[in-house]
Amino acid sequence: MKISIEQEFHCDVLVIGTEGTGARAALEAARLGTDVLAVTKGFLARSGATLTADGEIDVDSRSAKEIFGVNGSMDDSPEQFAIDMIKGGDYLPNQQLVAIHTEEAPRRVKELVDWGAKLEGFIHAPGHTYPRGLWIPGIKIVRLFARRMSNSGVSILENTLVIELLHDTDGVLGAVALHIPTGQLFLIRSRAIVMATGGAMRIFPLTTAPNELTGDGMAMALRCGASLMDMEFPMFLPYCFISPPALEGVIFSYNASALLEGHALNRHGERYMKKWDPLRLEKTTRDINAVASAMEIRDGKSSMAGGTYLSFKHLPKNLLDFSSSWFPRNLRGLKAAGFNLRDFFPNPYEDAWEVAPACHFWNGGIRIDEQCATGIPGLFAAGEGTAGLHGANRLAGNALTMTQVWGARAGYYAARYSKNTALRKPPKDQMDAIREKFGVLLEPGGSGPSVIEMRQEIKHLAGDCVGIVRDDSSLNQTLDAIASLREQLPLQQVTSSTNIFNHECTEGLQNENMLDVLEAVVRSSLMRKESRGAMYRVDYPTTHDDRFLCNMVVRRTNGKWSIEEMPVEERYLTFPKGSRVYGRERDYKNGNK
Amino acid sequence: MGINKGKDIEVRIYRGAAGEGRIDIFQVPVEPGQSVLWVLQYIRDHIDPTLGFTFSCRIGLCTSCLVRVNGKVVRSCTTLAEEDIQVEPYKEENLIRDLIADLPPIT
Repeated sequence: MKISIEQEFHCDVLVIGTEGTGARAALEAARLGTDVLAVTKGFLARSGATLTADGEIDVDSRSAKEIFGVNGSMDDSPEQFAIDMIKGGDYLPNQQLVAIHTEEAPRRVKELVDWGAKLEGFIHAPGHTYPRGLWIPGIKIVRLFARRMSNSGVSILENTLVIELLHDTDGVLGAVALHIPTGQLFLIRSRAIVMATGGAMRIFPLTTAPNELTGDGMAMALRCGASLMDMEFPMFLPYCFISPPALEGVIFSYNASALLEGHALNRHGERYMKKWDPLRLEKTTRDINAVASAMEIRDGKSSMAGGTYLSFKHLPKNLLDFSSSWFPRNLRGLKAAGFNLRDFFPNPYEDAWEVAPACHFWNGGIRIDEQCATGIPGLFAAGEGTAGLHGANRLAGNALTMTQVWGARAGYYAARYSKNTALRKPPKDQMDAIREKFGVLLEPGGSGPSVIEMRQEIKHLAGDCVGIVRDDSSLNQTLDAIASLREQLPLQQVTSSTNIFNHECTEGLQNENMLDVLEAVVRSSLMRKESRGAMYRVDYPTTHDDRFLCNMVVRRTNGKWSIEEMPVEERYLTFPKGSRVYGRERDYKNGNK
Repeated sequence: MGINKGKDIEVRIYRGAAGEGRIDIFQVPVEPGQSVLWVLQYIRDHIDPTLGFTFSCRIGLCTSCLVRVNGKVVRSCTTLAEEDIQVEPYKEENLIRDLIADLPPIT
């Protein structure tokens, strides 16, 4: 089948992803006078992770008080915020990136407010020494940005899936994209590219993330020669609903567990947190809650629907009734995202809820420096799906801050770079390779598994063989399974022949991205023979600070993976020494925490 | 929720482009608490991979999954499918294919 490029676009800066991070990058690049094209595979301001964010956006407490007049603490500072981030990331964050982040956060959030975002509250989330969470729901941010981009001359392409980056010896020069509504291939030639596509939470069967989060940006950057880092740390949120099915991945139950004292129970009714943290029980860190729950499930003590139970039955009815009036605004009256819990549970706290850890955030991703450069000239990256800021785990409320600080930086540096770079012709061999991989998904047929079976198999591997608790033997088995799936990729079976929103075609392309990301997770996890932050190894349950204060950096060259341990640089905060019980600070045993 | 009891429902879905549409009928096994979006995904994954519909967040925030269920415009993700249903594009003038339609402008 002959596949031709149907339309060609030229721009200075191509931004891939149009929501929290991408929109901020596009606005910054446009402000510098460059011609910006922003593309999204979904609908503008109706897709992506930002709009699902409850609303905390972190700045240090002192700046929050001084700039926004909220009840912050003058004892806080960007430096203290940075220390909390480094500790929260279990000492793996890049301390230089963290310092920039906490320093620039107040300015970026002030801009949001100046542009019309309303502050709806101010909270103190766990992991923060002081209250830092300014409340601006993500959905308000993306709508504001959609309007602002159209007033700033940013061109937008919706429902456009970038398939592959194009590059020559001077770096990236554009991308090929599938226009989903027409099935046409677009060639986009650009002087610089900002990758802002988010995480890959959708490789896991249970996730809080929207449908788009399939790791496209990380996978394309990897295939283009960039490095991925900290890929062993997908973050899981404990206590997300798994039943009834419509509520799958809804995080109201997690929020309730933070606001009320719930009991986490296995099928025997045991409060299994006693084994993990006898003092704090369910009030321990969310990592330990998630790991503990995953271990109960692994040990065959799951709930009916395959999770664990979360119960509030022990609390008096009038206390529970009162709670729904003081919960944060978006949870008040038992509102759970777009659902009302009473539609499912007439007496919501009467029965235990069935819950499980759901993949919620991607701590690792494309390795970037302080200018969001990836090491591939012209390719910049920002936001979720980049590594360095969160290390082994992220603080609550810091994802939205990340979109603003790093989106703006990526847009700035990409625009500057574009001014000294020429538009170049795409190399023929790369265009041919893209046509070939795209072509097999257009014609009904194929001797391998269907695209849907392929997706299901990837999710099965991610959920059952990788998951939140891992060990060498299942990780090695997963590597073998990935290798055989990779052989099947070009043989994926499709049935549709339509050009219009051919869902099998987009899924077939995404499957390759999901598989690349999964393999990076497995390879990085195999290297880290310890437990830390968001990753727990059954066979290596201890945290080894003497051995593993390093970032795992993976690359793939000509189909061959390489992995390097890069020591974390000690700049502002000194590192702990020795070994410690997973999830605890060294001095925990002495009662100092 | 007690022990879930599954049953089959009849799902009638608008198929095709504007003006030339037909109704396809599918039998789908559902349990209590399953959404219309879940039913659409079930059909695409197990019966007819060519079925066209859009969604993103699955939790009632993004409005990418607007459809008309039994005549009423709703989000497919927050609407339960417990009885027989008819699913159509949310607005015929905006129809692209099957249940896919151009969405109203962001306000």
